Amino acid sequence: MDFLHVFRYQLKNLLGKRWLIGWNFVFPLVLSTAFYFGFGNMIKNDPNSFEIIPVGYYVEQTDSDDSFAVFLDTLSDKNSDTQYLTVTNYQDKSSAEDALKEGKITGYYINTNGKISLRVAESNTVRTTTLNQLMKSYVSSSTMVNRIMKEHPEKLQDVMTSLADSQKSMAKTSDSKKNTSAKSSRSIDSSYLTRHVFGKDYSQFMQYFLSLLAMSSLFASWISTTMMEPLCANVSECGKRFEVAPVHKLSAILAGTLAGTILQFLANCIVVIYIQFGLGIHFGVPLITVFGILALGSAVGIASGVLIGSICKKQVTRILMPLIYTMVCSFLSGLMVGFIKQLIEDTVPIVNRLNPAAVLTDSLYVLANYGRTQRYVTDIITMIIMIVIPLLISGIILGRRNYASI
Amino acid sequence: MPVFKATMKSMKAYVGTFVIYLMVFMLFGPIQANGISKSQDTMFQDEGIQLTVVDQDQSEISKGLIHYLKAEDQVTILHKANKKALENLNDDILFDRQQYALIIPKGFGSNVEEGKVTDSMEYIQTNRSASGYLMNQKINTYLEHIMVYLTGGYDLSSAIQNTESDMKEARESQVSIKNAENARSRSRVIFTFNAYSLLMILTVFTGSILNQFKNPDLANRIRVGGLSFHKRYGGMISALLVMSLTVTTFVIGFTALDARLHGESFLVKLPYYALNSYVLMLVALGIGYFLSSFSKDENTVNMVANMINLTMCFLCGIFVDQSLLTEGVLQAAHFMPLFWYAEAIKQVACNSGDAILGSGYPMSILIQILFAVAFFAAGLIISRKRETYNV
Amino acid sequence: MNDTIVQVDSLVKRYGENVAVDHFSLDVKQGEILGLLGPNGSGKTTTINCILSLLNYDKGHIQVFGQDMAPDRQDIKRRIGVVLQNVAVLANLTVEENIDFFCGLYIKDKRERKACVQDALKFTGLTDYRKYKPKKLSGGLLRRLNIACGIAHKPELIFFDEPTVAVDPQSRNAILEGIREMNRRGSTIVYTSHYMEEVEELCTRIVIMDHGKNVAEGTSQSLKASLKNRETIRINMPVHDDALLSELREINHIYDVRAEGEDVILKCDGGEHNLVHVLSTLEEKHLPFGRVTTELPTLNDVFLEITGKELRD
Repeated sequence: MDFLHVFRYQLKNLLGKRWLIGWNFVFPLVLSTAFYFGFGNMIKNDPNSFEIIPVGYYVEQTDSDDSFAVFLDTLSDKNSDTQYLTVTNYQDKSSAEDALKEGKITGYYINTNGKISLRVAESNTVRTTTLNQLMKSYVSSSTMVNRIMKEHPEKLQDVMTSLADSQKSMAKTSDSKKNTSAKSSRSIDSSYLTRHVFGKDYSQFMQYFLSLLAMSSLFASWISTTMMEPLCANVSECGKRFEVAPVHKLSAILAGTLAGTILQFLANCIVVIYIQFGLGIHFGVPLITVFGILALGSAVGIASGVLIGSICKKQVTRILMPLIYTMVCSFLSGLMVGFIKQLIEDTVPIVNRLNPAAVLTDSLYVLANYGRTQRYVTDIITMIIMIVIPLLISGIILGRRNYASI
Repeated sequence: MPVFKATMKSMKAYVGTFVIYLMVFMLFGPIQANGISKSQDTMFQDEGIQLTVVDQDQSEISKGLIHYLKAEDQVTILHKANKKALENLNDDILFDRQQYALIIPKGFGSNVEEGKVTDSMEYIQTNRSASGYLMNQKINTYLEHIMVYLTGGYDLSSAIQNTESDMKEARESQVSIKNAENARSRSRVIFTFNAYSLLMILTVFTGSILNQFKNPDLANRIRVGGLSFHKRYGGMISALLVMSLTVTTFVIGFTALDARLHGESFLVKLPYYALNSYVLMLVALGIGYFLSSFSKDENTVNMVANMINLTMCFLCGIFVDQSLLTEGVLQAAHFMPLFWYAEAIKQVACNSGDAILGSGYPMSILIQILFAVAFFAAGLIISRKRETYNV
Repeated sequence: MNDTIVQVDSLVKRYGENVAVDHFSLDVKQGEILGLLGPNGSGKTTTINCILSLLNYDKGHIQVFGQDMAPDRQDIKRRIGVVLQNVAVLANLTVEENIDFFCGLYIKDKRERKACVQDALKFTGLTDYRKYKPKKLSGGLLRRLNIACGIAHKPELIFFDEPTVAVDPQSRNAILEGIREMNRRGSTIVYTSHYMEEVEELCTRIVIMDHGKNVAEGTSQSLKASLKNRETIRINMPVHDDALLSELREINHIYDVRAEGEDVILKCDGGEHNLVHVLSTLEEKHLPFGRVTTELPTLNDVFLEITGKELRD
């Protein structure tokens, strides 16, 4: 009877705290919406998309046979599915240079008597590398054809047929993977290679949403530090009143823990439903399983908060510690710097095993990509341990009923 | 003066917050820089990627392919890979530790000689297809050459040799760069990441401190104290300014030190980065002041500050590069101060020292200042109205 | 029945070097209202917290209802009610919910608890405010809520720790009357305060505490009777000299005469009609005088005589 009585009123008390509701219910919704606007497009749309690059072409000096121009025409053919470029021809170098400066083109090719060179705005980008690759592809192919012409001219016809077939084969492959997005695209797949896919085609940007759910779960630690305030005499006046009452303290704390877990679980469910049905981002895992994992995650957050609450007495610390704990764990699981989790996995994997945010995101990630593997089971067991141990330690600390000072 | 002193003393309670966010900056800023920055190079540099090749064939052709890839990319070679190893590779690629993996099956070499190369290899990549596309293109080009040479009557060894020679010649093609600046320097990355830490420290801190002084009894006591509205708030704002300048200068100093330790010289650009950071500081103070004008308690300040700052960081290109954001988002981001902060950093990074003022940098600074003024004004109006109507 | 329901023997409680309670002994008889009077920092709240097993202590022995008190003695705690010095209610629950919550920690039966909650609301005059949240209540009403939460379960023994601090006079009177009523209904009360007027008015027996020690104990009358000074007469006399003061000192039962500015203060160690004798003497000498007041000794005087300090410093 104590248990239900405390449970009911703890739930009411927690629901009355607007800032708590704001953090745990509203904040994840706001952030997930921001993620969606930021890169939801990259999760939902056909990942095999490629942007067409604007490039210039300036002929400084050439002979009558401008094979490079033909090459560029092939790559910029709007009617073809292998359009990589949009080409603008410039009559003089300064016009090309101006266009480059104004950002109208990524770079421009210069044909000096059949020798091709490239001028780009900046180094180290995918676009400029692509332009360079195309140029090298042309140069190497030209060299190859010239070599064959010299050494095996009798095979030239077969070689040209082979080259043409190769182009057609690439075009066919890209045709079957045509992107329906607004921008023109070209498939990146080819006839020599097939993609090794682990189950569903999982976007790396899902990691942000998973980290968000982990962060939201860990914010439950605030719920539990708040929940414990009226139960501990050395924290609040209500705690004094509570501790002189004939109530089993640990039972009351468990009741509060359950109330907090349910509240947090509800918050997580709302976020998940919003992400999946509102934003249209699918987790790649049955919803009921996501709920199950998040129930564990919520309990982890709550249990951590109980431990923090049993150690920290000052009001400022009780607000700061859960925030620090949540943000540090979330950072390390990749909330802001996406590759952090894997970097830690490769260098100091024990940190990921101890980081509840990393464990939670890993369980959802593994399930979506590889199914119920040993790694997934380990993650689930780890989360259960992360619930039990803090509660046990808290029980020992809180078990005493009188204090040296209050 | 009394309000100034009281504000300074109140800051002690928030030392923990300072330390945490500063440590986040000092730890994660360099980590991110290690991950995505490139060292200075005036010559053109291809977007070389990190990849793993699982060479289960170890034939002449597979070795030739690997040798070709090594010329421009960082290749790790494995000779076998079980299911777990492939999952690890997939994880590395999904989390951007590597960008590509190629699996060459046993018997690949003999298949090539027999001309059976369709779907002959597997690759692993993320849906950031640009890097994957480039790598596929490279591999296709190589194999295409091999097949053509074989069709042209050459044996496999000659085909490999000739292809190697063709590719070498192709690599000698000239590429010149208009901007010799390193657009992805460490300092750029760290200053970009700094936006989050600086904003969080200053908005939460400012909002919380100012909120404290809004405690009804305390506020009433101060109000009847005889100081004018402007003197009261002037003292408070001065104290916050002193604190903010200290934190911002520390952050700038840290980034400068990091750059120096990594051999990056950016002394010419330091004043521009520094000015941008100080302007962001003003924006952060403005946001904090604005938050405090309507927040009821510290928890609300914390919550709203986190929501605003994190959202801005994701939508304005702080955590996620602007090139990955959609056009609509980028347009909307123009109405956020952080977008202009990121723009200013980009102008500094992509232009030489004497070209920065001629770029969009001054405009970005000015717009940020306008944002700061707008937030201050809004906060001041709300505070004044609340005081007048005793709300 | 006058059974001892609280017995404290030689209680010692230290906070580091500071001895907050110094070999303090106390017993509370059933049915009485015991006042624990002392200045701020004398150890009253610490003593109460030790009795309630909220605080551990260094030496001594505490028994409640004839049994050793301990933190896990829920059977004893069930019979105790506490009204703390600071308001201890949950800000997000209404008045009724607060009372119900705390009452529910003592009374499991729903029906019984409901009745107790209604009684507590009526008793403290909070029926009209049952749906209000604490932040909407005035200071006085908040104190009443604080009391209601502590007594709703109708305990046999109630501790009041300075319940009228910062309370308006009307609410204060209502609180004191309520305490008397609880006592009439059978509860034993332990009332701590540094307001001697309240303690004098309310308590059947008083223990005076200073620096953690029991410095005096008894009824209000017996404590005052222990003083030498039984009456203080103050006369406003602009004209007076040492000869007059000596002469006044000769009057029977006047043991101390001194001048304080324009006032002459006379202390009497007993007797009756002392004022008449003094005024007669003045009239004989045709000495003019102004305002005349006479005061009976207070507990403050008792405290002052024992410790050399005022109760309220």
